[in-house]
Amino acid sequence: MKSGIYLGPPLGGARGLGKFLVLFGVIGTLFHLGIYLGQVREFEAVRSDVERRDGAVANAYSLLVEVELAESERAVLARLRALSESGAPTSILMTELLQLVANALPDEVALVGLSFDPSTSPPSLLVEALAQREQDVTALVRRMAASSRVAATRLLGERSAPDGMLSVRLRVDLNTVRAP
Amino acid sequence: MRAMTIAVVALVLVNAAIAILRQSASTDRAALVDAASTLSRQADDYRFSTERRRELDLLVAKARSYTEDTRDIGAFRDVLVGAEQGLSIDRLSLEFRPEEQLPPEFGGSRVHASLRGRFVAIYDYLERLEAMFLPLSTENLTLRGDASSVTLTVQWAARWPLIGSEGALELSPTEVSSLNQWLSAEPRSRPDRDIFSFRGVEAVPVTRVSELPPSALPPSEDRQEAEPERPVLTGFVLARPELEPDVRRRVLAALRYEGEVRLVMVGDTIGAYVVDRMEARDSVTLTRADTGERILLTFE
Repeated sequence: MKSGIYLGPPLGGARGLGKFLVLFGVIGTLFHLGIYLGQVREFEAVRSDVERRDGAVANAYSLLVEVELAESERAVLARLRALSESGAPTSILMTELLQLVANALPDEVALVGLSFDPSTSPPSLLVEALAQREQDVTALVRRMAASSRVAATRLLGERSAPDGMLSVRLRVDLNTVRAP
Repeated sequence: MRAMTIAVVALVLVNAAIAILRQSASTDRAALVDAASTLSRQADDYRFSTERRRELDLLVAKARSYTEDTRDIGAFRDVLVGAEQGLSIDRLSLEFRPEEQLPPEFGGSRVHASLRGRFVAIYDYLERLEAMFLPLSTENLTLRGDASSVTLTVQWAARWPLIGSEGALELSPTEVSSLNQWLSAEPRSRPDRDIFSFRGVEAVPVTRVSELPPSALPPSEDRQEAEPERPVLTGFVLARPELEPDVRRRVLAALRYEGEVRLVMVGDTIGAYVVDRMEARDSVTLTRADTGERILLTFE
């Protein structure tokens, strides 16, 4: 009977290491595969989102094309452009000024003159009026100042006429944008 | 042992392949995300443009119904003169002056207007103009009252689009919004008093014979004997013949005849009269065609 010592790698350990490596490799591969499949799902979701958006763009574009302006509409548009260029849409209406003064005028006050100058900053009104009593002048100034259209009022002059009436001059600065 | 080695190598290769696929999927995904955001922006742009266009369509429809087509100075003149009809305006004068430094796509003129009448008539005239949404902006305005009437002096800047100015069709969202707001404005009610008189002592309106209803006039036999209606001088229109093909003279007289103001030049016929001579801003001489009688019209 021969007996000796085996000097090679331990047979059981090598197999164990090999098994471990294969197992580790399989787990890693499955892990990788899982991540990849997740990415593929995400990719598909993004792709369907892009397709949806592409449809929305096409739809929006078709609507845009549908509402191309006709020739007659272009003429109206040119008119609108002139309206805008004239500054009329944003300017203070003349009837609004008269209404403003009428609302502020006490019964015992009558206008002599009214001037509107939109070129000053802010645009201003010069009101010249005849009042029967001092308190009417105060009422005029107070009522005028109470309007949302009015930024400031200034009594420029007040004098008594020979007939006992009070002649007043009032400057009214206007807000360019009406208060809500 | 060998089988294990082969298995390990195979696993390594599979992993490498998966890594490459993951890298490629990641690159493709990034490209798709980019495309999605570009498409999203594009869709928003188109949607915004479509909404703006819809808003513009509404504005165009509104403008078509409400605004006057003042495409040249002659249209302005006719609108400004025509707006006084039936309002008992005693005096109406208009002067059109050239305006410098206009944008190339617009025509324009300064308009000086002077009107005299009762406060109510002046107010209604201004209200009519506002209801027509004209491209006029007020540069200054003065109202002066005397015993029975009010005189309005106003200077407007008028604009109109020049034909073929296709480049000028852009309107900013702010302009669209302010135009929409302006065109939707409700007319305000007229003041309940004449602000140039103390309340209770308003000027009594004077009714002219030409404004009386037929029942208030004398019987027809009497009227047959009456003189032909004489035009009344209302004012002058200082035109710009270089811009108004229908006007050959700088000065036109505004004569009220049969209840409306008519613009006439020397040589024109109005009723039974021919316009003989005009002194600008002062008087008009008419000759009655059948009798040769001459009458001098001055401001009343």
